[in-house]
Amino acid sequence: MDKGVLGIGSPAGRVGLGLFVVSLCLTAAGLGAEWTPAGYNLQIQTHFNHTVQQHAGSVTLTLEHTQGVTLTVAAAGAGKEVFTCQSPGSSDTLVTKYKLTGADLGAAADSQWVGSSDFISPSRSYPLPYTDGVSQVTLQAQGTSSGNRANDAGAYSASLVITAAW
Amino acid sequence: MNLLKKMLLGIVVCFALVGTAFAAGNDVTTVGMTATVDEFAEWGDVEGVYTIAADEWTNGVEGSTISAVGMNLTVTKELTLYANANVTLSQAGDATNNSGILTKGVGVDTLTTSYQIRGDVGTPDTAYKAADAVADPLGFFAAANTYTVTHTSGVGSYAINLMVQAESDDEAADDAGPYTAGLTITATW
Repeated sequence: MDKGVLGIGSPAGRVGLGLFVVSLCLTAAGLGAEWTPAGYNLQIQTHFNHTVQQHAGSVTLTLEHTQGVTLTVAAAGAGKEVFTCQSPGSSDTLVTKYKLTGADLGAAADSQWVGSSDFISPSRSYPLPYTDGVSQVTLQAQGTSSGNRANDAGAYSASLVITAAW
Repeated sequence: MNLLKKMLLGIVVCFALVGTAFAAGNDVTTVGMTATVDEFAEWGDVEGVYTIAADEWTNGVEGSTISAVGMNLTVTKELTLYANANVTLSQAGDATNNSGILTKGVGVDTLTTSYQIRGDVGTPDTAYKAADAVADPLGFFAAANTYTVTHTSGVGSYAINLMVQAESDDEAADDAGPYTAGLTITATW
């Protein structure tokens, strides 16, 4: 019997090599999912210049994954799910709503705007099944200016963390 | 089991454990978002048009009408200004509506008309100003007769109270009937 260096020529060696390769494949498959790139920016292009205005923006997110995942959304910090004025001395906010859409989400895609607090609810999640290894979902954000006063002028920001779990 | 088999089994178990370790996990992405609110000012009424109805005039009793010589009627119209910047208000008589002077028909008869502005302005009036553009004494429509509204962060809504006074002639009975006038108040920021 030719044992070779790793015994590849032996029945046990062949079985071992096979398991080794399978194990490597399982290990690679076990990487699960990865957002590419790791961070995104969404800009509402149209400026607010009246009361009771609604403007929205969107960004498409790409997830490479080797198995089905579940997406959940959280604020990137306390209150960061709401568009908040960054001008000095201001803490003014816009009414903020979101949608997560995309064909890859299937029936789980939002069909209506979701209030910011509901959108980041831990109980809210989006199953994203495995298809061809790359999925795209679109995050849409909508701001609404106040109806009974002028919002403070300036730049407003919000930040969300989207987690793909497997 | 010889040593080689044991080594191979060990390798398999090792990689199987590694594979198991990656069976669950997560990856996160952060989405930063921005929006911009420009400086603006906007009258609270939908079309920026306010109307003073006949029954809003008073001389102590709402809905009063002029029924004597030398009689004064007044009305206070509460306007709302939405603004997120400091604003300057300026006034002008509406040339298409008797230039701000209460008039019956087409210049047939007039009532002495005067105005003042109070509310959330820097220096509210304390007395009525004539409906003219004279510089001295300062008329309500004079270029120098402006009012400032200073924006406070987070407020964005300001009360502008336009007060109007109509006075009948002291020495003659004004013609009976409705008198009308119009003016524009411009908010500049």
